[in-house]
Amino acid sequence: ARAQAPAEKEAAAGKRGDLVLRGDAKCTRCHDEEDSPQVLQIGKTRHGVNADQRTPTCVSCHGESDRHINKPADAKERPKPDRIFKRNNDVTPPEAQSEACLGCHEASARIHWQGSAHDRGRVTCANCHTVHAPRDQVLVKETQAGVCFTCHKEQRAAIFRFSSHPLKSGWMACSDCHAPHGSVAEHNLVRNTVNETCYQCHADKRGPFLWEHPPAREDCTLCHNPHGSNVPQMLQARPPYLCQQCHVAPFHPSTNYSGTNLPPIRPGVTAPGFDKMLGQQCMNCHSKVHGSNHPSGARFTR
Amino acid sequence: AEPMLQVPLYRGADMSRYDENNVELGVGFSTESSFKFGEFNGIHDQGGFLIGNLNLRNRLGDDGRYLNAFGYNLGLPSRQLGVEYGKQGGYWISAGYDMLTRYQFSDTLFIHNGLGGSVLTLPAGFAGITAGTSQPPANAAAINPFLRTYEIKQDRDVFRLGGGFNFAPGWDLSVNYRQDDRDGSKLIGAVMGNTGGNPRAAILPYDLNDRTQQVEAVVRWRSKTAQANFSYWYSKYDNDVGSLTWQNPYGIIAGWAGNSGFNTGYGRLGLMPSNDFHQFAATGAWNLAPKQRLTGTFSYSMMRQDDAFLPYTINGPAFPGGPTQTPGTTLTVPNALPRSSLDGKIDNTLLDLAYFTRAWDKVTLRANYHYNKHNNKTPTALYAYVGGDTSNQPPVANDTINSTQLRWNVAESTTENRFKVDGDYEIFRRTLLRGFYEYKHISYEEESEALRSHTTNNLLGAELRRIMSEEFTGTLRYAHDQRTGSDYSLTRAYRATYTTGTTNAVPFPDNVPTLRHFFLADYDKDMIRAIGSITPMERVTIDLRADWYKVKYKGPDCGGPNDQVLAPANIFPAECLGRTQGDGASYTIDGSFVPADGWNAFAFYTYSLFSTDQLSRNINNTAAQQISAARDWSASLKYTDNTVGLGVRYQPDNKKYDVGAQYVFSDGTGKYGLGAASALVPGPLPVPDTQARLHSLQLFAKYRYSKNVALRFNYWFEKYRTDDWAYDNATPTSSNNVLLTGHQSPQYDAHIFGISIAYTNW
Repeated sequence: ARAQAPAEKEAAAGKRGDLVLRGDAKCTRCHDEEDSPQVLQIGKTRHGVNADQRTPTCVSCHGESDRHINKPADAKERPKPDRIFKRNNDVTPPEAQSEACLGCHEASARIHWQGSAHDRGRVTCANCHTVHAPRDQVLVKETQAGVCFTCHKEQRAAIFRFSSHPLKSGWMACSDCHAPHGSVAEHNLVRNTVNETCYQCHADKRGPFLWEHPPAREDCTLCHNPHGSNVPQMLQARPPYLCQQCHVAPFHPSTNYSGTNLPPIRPGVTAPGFDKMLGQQCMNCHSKVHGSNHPSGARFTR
Repeated sequence: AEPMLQVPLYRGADMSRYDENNVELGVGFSTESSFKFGEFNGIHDQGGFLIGNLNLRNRLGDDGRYLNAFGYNLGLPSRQLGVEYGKQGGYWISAGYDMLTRYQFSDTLFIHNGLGGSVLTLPAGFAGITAGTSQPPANAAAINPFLRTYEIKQDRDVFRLGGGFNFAPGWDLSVNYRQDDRDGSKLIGAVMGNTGGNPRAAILPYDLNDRTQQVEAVVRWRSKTAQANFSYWYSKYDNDVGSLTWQNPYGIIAGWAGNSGFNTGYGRLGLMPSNDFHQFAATGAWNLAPKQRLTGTFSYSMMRQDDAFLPYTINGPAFPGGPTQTPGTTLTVPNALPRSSLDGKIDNTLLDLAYFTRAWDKVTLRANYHYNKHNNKTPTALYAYVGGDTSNQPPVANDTINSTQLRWNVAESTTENRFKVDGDYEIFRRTLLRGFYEYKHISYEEESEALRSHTTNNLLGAELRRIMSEEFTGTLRYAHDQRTGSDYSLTRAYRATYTTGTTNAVPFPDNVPTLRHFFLADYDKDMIRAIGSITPMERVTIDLRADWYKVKYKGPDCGGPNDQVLAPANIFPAECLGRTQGDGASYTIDGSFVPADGWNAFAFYTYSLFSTDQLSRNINNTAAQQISAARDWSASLKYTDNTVGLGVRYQPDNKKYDVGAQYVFSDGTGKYGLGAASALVPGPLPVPDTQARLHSLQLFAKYRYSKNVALRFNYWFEKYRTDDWAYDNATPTSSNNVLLTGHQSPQYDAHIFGISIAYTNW
């Protein structure tokens, strides 16, 4: 058994009071500034504001932990606290870890947590949130992505592609579009549908339009990859071929465009480039693909 | 310390800039002028810039009041400011202001005057694009002297205001307002007129000047066993610029009417209409019993748009009360618009119910029902399709006329019903077997005359998850998704948009009847996911992740006896056109390593694949071509990315300094495999690969001079090379039919230096 630390002796002798939270002396008699300063950082967080009557104390989250505090004489090692928050630990299953937080935080954005994709994936609150840190990395827009990338590795690679949302520079955060605590939408989106989520910043695409482009109305991601693409405008694939996956009509919509006449003009080829392969390609003329409100905009050119 | 102006790629970022009172001032220098490098970070120009960051966090007294303020990137065009005051557990108010400029193109060339405005005219002395049937390549000598650079960029200013308070035990209210003002220019294809697929167009900048306002009010209630949210969200979009008008640079060509060509004709297109949106929502959750929860959401949303229509043509108007005729043009517009504005209305009704239980030791279960009705109530009417401001309107606008220039607008409504159930069973200790099933049915309302009346998805899958220990976890998942549905009819949608007179006379749609749109077609999709996480020793963690899918589109009922719509009966080949297959994959190996106390290192590699195969047919409007498989062509588009990241940081025990380095390499390649059947001679020439290759190296250090003062040093080198056949070597006059901008795909070598002093914690 380990010898009593000086602080422990002082606390046992009644010389030490609470350091940070109400009633924390039973813990901080050992976990003091010398032992674990990072634990005491909770005093700099919202959980450390004693003026707020809702503020928890150590045992609110970690349990009474009597066996941890009073190590049984026959125990080789000191038992762990009743509830610990390390991933995949033997003491506290994931749902019990999250229960500790949900006791106070089940309303608001967490109302959909139970049964959500992250909950079912055995992700716990503490997997993403650092409760004892003065500033939680996942709650700061500029640093949040680093936490999400722990699991979402494809998205980490995507932000370096040619065309992406301003996430790499910290102007957007994953949570601008996704609700990590669950939602009614697919992909845990913050709004009811993909399009509703996109319209938060792209309300110009909302319409309703006189001439609707059905895939644009149905789901923006049919044509765009919002996490990043090497095709301009975050398109899934390059026009004209992307457009021609749904347009096989006489003449130019069905023409098999190729490298013929792409600049620089090849030796012996003097014809200019096909307009459907250059610049904005199909959108050189069909510029209103998100919908047109012009009375003659049926073909999205006006 | 941390990389400059970039989000962390790993958790464990240095949060000192955010968690303490911190003021940072310094200078930076960039060696490069590149809109692409500065696209969002604001460093778009060679030269110096100021480094300014501010983060103040103060508790005011012992009663829980606080005052926080922050400002990031204050010396750059893209910057953020915010302030928050409140009393924890009582109330809060906040305000924020973000300025974000997107630097899009710096090398775009145009001939018009008035760039950045809504009316663009041609410069004095410009003689028009008239040679060689009015095509740009034949007119380079006439065009080039008038080309001048105009940068394309957009400012987005975001103003936020919010507040909330706890007005009773268990109750709170919050209201948040956000206003986005955008100002600048974007590019758009401006079409002059359409003559059988050979229009004349110019890529022009249009004036972007719009505002989106959003306000969301939420009342929340909570008790130990139940919670509820009631919300109202309003979003209003106002566009100050309803249209773009430009002088036609093209001389008149066959098929254009009146004097609509250079130099009397003008063109005009509509920009995005102002609109608004309301949403009322209520969500309630009830813990029925320990470890059982029922959650329900009801939401009703309304989209509205009623901007005044533009006239059919700017070069009109022959009907009484129409717009003023542009001098010199003589286009006829015999019929007035059927309405002056759309009165567009789409209502959405959503209901979502979820039941979740962990009531049994080894079993968890979740069942979810989701209903979403998208009800488009927009009135329909018959409109003249005037291909551009160079065409006369068809003479009589009624449904008996056989004219492809008369079109009904379609208000498509859909209803989605989705049911999902999934459950876990712990087959062994720490080993979970999960099964899941999802049924999704989408009805496309009959009145919208959609391509299909309904589709049904059945998704079935299983997952095995093994949590061996704190040191090893693994997951293997397989799912199969199948979409089927009603008969597919391109003619149904065709008939919905064209007049009865047209569909009686020409019973054939725009598209080949054997085309199947990938977002509606039947398919079979297989998905596999494997995840492993290993911690072989305390200081090393290795993650492996693989995601793979293949989707095969299957019609239904393409060709053969199903498609004989041409008279006399011509049978289409029994093959589906459109996207035929899609493939995707993402494989990552990712490791973090703590080689010694104070050291942190990471490395990752990700391979990504997105590819599609498609089949099409090169046709004119004759039956012989449309049914000929000898005119088929195919395209296989394959996009791959290889991304490598390496990073290392060191901070000694005394935390006197810390240093680090981070390197990212990203190589994205697009390959375009083309094939053509025997009748398409000559065959396709290869399309070059597109490529985007990035090297990004950041070195960073922080030296703590004293308890409160630290010096930060940053060096950032970024090298970027892109190849894009749509832009490379294309001048403004490279293309028939379209006056391009001459924009080239971006390349840069940027060296950024930064030194700053930070004062922390007073």
